[in-house]
Amino acid sequence: MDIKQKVLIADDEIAILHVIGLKLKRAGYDIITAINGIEAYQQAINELPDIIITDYHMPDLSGLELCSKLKHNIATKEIPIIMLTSHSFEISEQILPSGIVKCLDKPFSPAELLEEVELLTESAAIPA
Amino acid sequence: MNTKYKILAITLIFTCSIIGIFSIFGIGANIAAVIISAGVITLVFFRSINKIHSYYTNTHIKISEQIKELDESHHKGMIMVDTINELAGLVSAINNHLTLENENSLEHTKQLRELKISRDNAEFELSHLKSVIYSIAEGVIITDQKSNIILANRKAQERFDFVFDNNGPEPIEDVIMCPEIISLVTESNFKDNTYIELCRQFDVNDPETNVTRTLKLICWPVFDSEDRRIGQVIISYDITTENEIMMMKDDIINSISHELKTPLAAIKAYAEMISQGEFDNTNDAREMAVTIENQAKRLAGMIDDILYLSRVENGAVNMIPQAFNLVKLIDETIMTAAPIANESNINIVKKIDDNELECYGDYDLLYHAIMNLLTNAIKYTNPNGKVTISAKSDKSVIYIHIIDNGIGISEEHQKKIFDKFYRVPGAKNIKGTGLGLNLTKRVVEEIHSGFISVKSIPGRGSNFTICLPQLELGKEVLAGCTVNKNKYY
Repeated sequence: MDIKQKVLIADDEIAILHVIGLKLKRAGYDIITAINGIEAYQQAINELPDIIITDYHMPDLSGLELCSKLKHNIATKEIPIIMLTSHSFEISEQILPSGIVKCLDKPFSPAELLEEVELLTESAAIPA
Repeated sequence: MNTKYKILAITLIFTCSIIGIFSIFGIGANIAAVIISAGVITLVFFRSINKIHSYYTNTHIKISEQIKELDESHHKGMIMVDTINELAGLVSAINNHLTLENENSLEHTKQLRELKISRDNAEFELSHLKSVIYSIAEGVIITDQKSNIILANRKAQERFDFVFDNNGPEPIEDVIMCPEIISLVTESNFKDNTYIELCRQFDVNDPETNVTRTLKLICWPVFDSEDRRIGQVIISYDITTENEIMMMKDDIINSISHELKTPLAAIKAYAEMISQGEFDNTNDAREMAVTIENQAKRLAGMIDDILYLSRVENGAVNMIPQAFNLVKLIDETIMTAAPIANESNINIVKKIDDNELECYGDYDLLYHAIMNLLTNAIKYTNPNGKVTISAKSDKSVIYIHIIDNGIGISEEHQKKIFDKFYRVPGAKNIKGTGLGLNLTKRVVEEIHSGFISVKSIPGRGSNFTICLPQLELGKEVLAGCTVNKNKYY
């Protein structure tokens, strides 16, 4: 990877933030973290990451609310989002309008998450 | 004897006497004697006639009176005569007939009595059945085969706002304005002789409380002993609470599964990293292992909460009351909660003057109770906030305060936060099962005969206070309590 892709990870669980960050950093990605939805939104606007990984349950601003806000912002609306959740069956109908491209069930595999991130970055790299 | 016969007899006697007198003085003695004899014979004849007539007349009167008496009194009996002649024969025949009649009458009377008893029983059972139906707490409406309402109990009349006096069938649409009931009965009638249960569920607004209630209607056809359809019965159930419990249960399962999956996700992710050798040095590996251990502890704590609550509810807590140093217990809770507080840079402050403050109770249960309050305070306090834990004792009570400067709780929710599974609306994004405060309250109040309260101002913070019996009082209160605490419930 010549230019490091930037990934924003939002989760109020420090342990989850840490393990995902570790996995992606080792794969060569630049990592930005946020411990709640509001902070994640600010980071997304400021840093304009290539991919966002967010938890569904977060204080102040939930994962879905964050996705909705990002979708309505012209600068962030195209950023692909991966959502981590314990309730993927519940939010499946809400994925499309919220800009979520993939839902991963908790507990998830860091290796599987990395594969999804790589798929997204590769597809983004192919010229339209 | 009739008067005309008396007059005739007297006239004859008088005439014969005159003739006799004339005969004595003017006519021959023989002729006079004949005339006098004729007069005497005539007199004797008429007296006999008179006696016979009188005898039969009296008997007739007696018989008439007895018959009249029998007729009026409806009593069984016989006609009594004290003579033997044709009239006696007639009376005998009548008596024979009366005997037969009496026997028939006895049979009829018996049958009538039985019929009356059956009718009384049926009336009692009908009345009893109506009373039972009338008293059922759910609405019951019964119709005939033509959809005429024949019975509606009190609850049905209240629930669907109609009046029916239960004094005769009336077309259901003339009595009840609820379209769901009408359509249900109509549909049920179309099913003819098939036994099909029909259901409807709909929301209605309770005009008294202005609260929306969810009702469920079930309509069954009613068949007689020969399997002919004779109507239908409609029962309405208020399933509002049932629905709420179901929704709450779903919410709880979602919430608990999420809470359990979060530490599990961290454990799985770190374990996978270790197994794939994704660490640069031993320190990284150790750090990962520590994280796994912490997350496993957290998971175990959540499962403990669920199990504790279940055991407390079932009265199956094995309580081990003992005297212990409360400050030591509080120190342990602070040490356990510190990593969670550090994540958000929340400062935990301990304010206890008496380092030897002793308490009597179950150490583990009280540890859980105080730990729940402390972690709650941290969760609902903004980053860089402060949580203070203090303890003091007076002559009879030990007070433990857990005070935070977090988001606070409105007065409306303060009343409900100790309810099982209750979570303050809007706090859904803050993780929790809704079990902790309920468990804490039960441990303090039901198991330790203490008291828990909360004072809170939204936006400024909360103050949870636990009051426990002081050491000696605790020993008295909890004396002999080692197995279960049902008696304190």
